[in-house]
Amino acid sequence: MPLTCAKCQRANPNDAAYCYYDGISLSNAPAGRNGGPAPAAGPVAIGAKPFSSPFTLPNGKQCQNFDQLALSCQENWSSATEALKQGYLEKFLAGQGRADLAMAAREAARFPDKDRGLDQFLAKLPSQAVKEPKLAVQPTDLNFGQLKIGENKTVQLQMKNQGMRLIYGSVAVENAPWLSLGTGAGAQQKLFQFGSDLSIPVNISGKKLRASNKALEGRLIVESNAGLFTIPVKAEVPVKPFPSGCLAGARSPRQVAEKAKTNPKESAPLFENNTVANWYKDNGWQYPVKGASASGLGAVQQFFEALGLTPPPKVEVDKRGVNFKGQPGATLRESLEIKAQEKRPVYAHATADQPWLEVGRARLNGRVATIPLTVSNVPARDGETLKAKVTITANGNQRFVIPVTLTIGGSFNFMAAAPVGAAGAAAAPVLMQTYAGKGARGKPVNLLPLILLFLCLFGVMIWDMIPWGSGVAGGPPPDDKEEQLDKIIREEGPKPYDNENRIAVLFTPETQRFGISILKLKDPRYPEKPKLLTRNERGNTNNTVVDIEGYPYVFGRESAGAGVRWGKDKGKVLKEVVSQDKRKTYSVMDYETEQIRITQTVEIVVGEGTRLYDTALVKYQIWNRDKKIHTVGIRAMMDTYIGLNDGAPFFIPPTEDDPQPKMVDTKIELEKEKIPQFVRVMETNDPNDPNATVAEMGLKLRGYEPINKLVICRWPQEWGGSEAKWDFPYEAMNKDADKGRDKDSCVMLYWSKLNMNPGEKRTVGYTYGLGRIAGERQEIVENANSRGKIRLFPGPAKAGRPFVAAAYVRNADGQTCTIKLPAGVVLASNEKADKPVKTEAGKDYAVVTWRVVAAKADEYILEATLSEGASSKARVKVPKESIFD
Amino acid sequence: MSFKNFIYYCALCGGWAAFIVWALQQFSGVASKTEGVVKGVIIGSLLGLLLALVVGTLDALLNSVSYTRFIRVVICVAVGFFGSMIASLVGETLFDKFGLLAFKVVGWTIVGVVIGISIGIFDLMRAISAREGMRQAIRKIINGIIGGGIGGFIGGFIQATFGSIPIPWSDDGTLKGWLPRSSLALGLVILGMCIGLLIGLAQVLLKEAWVKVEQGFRAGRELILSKPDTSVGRAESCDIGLFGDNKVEKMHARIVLRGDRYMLVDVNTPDGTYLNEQRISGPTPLSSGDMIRVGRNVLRFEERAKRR
Repeated sequence: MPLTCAKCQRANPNDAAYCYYDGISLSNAPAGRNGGPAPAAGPVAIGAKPFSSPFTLPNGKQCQNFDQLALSCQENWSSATEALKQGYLEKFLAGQGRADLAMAAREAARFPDKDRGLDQFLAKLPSQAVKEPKLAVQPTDLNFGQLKIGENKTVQLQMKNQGMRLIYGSVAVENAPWLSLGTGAGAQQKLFQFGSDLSIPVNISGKKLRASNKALEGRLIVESNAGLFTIPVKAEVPVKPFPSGCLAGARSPRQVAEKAKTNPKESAPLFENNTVANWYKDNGWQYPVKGASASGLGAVQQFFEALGLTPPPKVEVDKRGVNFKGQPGATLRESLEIKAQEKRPVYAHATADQPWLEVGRARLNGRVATIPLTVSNVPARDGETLKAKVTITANGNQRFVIPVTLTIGGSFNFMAAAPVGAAGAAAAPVLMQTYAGKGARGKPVNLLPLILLFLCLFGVMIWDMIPWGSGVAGGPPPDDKEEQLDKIIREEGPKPYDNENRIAVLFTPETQRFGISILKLKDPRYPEKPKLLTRNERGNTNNTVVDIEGYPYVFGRESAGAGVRWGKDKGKVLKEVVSQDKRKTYSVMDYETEQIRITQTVEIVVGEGTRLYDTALVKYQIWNRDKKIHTVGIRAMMDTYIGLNDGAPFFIPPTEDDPQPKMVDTKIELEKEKIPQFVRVMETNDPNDPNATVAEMGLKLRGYEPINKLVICRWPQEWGGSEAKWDFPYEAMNKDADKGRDKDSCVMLYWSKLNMNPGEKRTVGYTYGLGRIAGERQEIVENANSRGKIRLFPGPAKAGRPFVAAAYVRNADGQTCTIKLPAGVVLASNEKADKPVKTEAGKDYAVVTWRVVAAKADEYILEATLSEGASSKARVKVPKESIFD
Repeated sequence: MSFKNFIYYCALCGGWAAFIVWALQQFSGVASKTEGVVKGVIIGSLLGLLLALVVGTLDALLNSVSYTRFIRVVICVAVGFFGSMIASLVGETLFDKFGLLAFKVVGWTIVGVVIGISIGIFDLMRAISAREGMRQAIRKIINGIIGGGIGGFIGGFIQATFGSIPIPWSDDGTLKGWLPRSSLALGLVILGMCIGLLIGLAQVLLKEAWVKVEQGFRAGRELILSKPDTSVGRAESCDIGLFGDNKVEKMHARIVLRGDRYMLVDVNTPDGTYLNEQRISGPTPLSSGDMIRVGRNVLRFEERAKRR
């Protein structure tokens, strides 16, 4: 079995101790020949074995053995390569019986590089005389020290072969784009091959240096057949700080951005005039802003966008493409506009890929950048259509490619008006952003719910407005009865002759008691003041008492301990709150312990008899806001007064239950059904006194809770006066008149003490005003025939409802008084037209009354005639609706 | 839903919620049978409840998936209702005691703050329970406080100051008074719209990072990244659901917050996740404007510029 050499893998005879080819011990051979011990290890000196005939190199050098041949080749390299190339060596070795080496010589001769071929051949020679190549590199590290941008420098990398044969490999630069190898432009990698030594220039390219606060570091990697070397390279390029302006001292783009953010306006010119760009250049950095600089703050934004600190606005191009048409030699112009939807500056620059199309510098103007396109000289290629592409780069490197065609012969037009933008990417011009974002705008907002909401609000407003006057300025919510009465007052009731107030209502600020005075008439005692309808012009002597659970409270008197306070709304005390037209005033008192709220409202309304604003409508709303039932009653006391007369007799008209009219100058108590529609007071005893005032108090407001008790009596001077409580002993108004005491009348109106459920409201009220005002237009129709004896006054009327006509008759006892009714007015049932006149004892005049009915709303003239012939006429306007029952 | 739509619907739903509150108090007898503090508290509580309901629902549609939407809304409503009840009780009581309108405005401001807080409570609870970072949840609550507070203040001020609609003048030149019902209705609607609008606006304007679906399933929608780990995929439970694309895995990718940076992570998917058309192999940092492609869906990652 042949033995194989462990080194050269060649087969040797099975009894060989050493390799025939290289002399290496065949250690894996079996034990010694004939079973003897194995031969000693170690090569046989094949190289020293003489050739059968010497080999002569072309230069004449003779070689006797392999060692000499190898050394001669090493020392006479070029001659050896020649011998190899010419095939001398191959033939010689074949002749020596070394077919293997002859083959090696042939392969080496075919090697493209003859030196490498010889080197390979030498490696295969069975000789120890030629040593392996060994590489030494100097220097082992490179430090260029401090450098400046633009400064070039070169050092030599020395390589030496400390062995024999040939060294070949490469030197490469790693992580240092500013380094190059070799002469000239230099390269990042260099191949080498040498026998003894080699010098390779290592260059610093100053243009490629980048300033940095850290040292620049790189490596040179030397790879060769003789080993691997790594040579670290270091250089320092210090950063030049920003030289001027508000950015001075900045040592990095980040610091520039920070300073610019702090002082955007001051820094803008530095960006605009390229100071920042130059600073970048001085430091060897690449300025991130491409194209022309924007102006103003836009330049700062441009910088921030380029650094990625601010997201760029989405921009779009106004045209999908441009088609030029023109005659040869003509000049054609067009422009492209790049716009942003956001209110941010747009900047852009563009290039064209064809020489016939010139792209001008972009004109930047806020949200729009305009790029001019010019074909300065249409080529003389008539009939042809040339194509080009304009590539626009805008904010944040958004790129658009706009196709441009030039049809030679004609005028230009646009391909389409649709703008190119993020949403239009599928169209002809190619948006070069990676994603077009088609349809990525989301769903449009649905305005229908918003419109519906506004319609609902509008509907509420309309609903609110339909019951006119339902609300009082900031006042309490009205109940149904008040709304009904308001409607009559404002819409359905009698219309006034004019808009002028004939009475004034003045309030005592502290207590909200009110007095009434007649504006057009003078007070007999104080002519500078108006005539009074109440004892005091501010109503100090009137009072209203609220009885809650048996405890009387005077309205208007706060008592913190008892929890009686003025009501509040939105922080405002609800006291003497006046409406816009000054005719309505309300005040609210809260009885907090029982949660009862009383609202007093006084409003000047049109008197139904006079058709003038001469009547005060007084209302009290009682509201149980507690969760419990409470018993509440209310009593109003009016200290009536006319001019100077505080004891004028009251006329009590007849009612269905009590057909007998009364003149009261003492006292009277009437309850429930016996309470008349109104009571009236005449200032003087002379019906024909042209200055005599007639006051009327309306007692039955339509729909309102009826008065439970009416008392006309003496003002309770001895029983608390203006602070008189709920009840007191009633006295005649003319008490002790015969002793020289003044008459002093008052009217007391009681509404029952009733249980009120939680949340329940009650509204009560009355009117007090003028039944006649001397000299007013509606006053006298024809009274020339009265002869000082008779005066006719109609009471509040309403179509279809009985009303009272009262004739005041003086000095006519025994006569008959007859009423003459116009068409449309008839006597109420059981009434007679003729009535006897009878003056009660102690009275100055008699009152004759008729209850009459007018079927329709109209104006009528009634006439009353005494049997002796004296007569009086009165005009009555019968309204369709009345505030009275 | 895009952010523009989110803001619009916040304001709109706020207005509607307030109008419903007005209708409830008007037709249930609250308007006529109650006054003062009680009435104010009832209206405030109802408004808080309904505003939290609508704003919470919109927030859930924008930021939540599947069943968590319901939980989010329930928490919102509970916080909104009870918080508003306390807030309006404080405001109305102070107003009743001192009579200063400013206290009413304070009450409405607190109501707005409570509603603003309510939409971030779920996120905070989830972060605590999952032991995740709470930064985004707290940020959301702060945004809610800012938006709700400003909205409540502006709306409350308008409602308190200009909350009366005058009745037109009659022929004789007299003023008929005020429109009590529509004054309250208008005031409440303005208040509701202000709170809704400002909460929505604050959430959008003050957001830190968000994703917009540029292409693919429901293109155009925008999602605020309100969690430290946001999942992307076609599973129902994914925060960003990309349905109808079989190249999207159930759990395809995640956007995770590590320190101050958002990273995109592919969950070992066969088709991969692409960032700016480069397939990612490991956690890759995201920058504002980056395009993430998952199957046929393209998402744009946006991040508010940070102070550096």
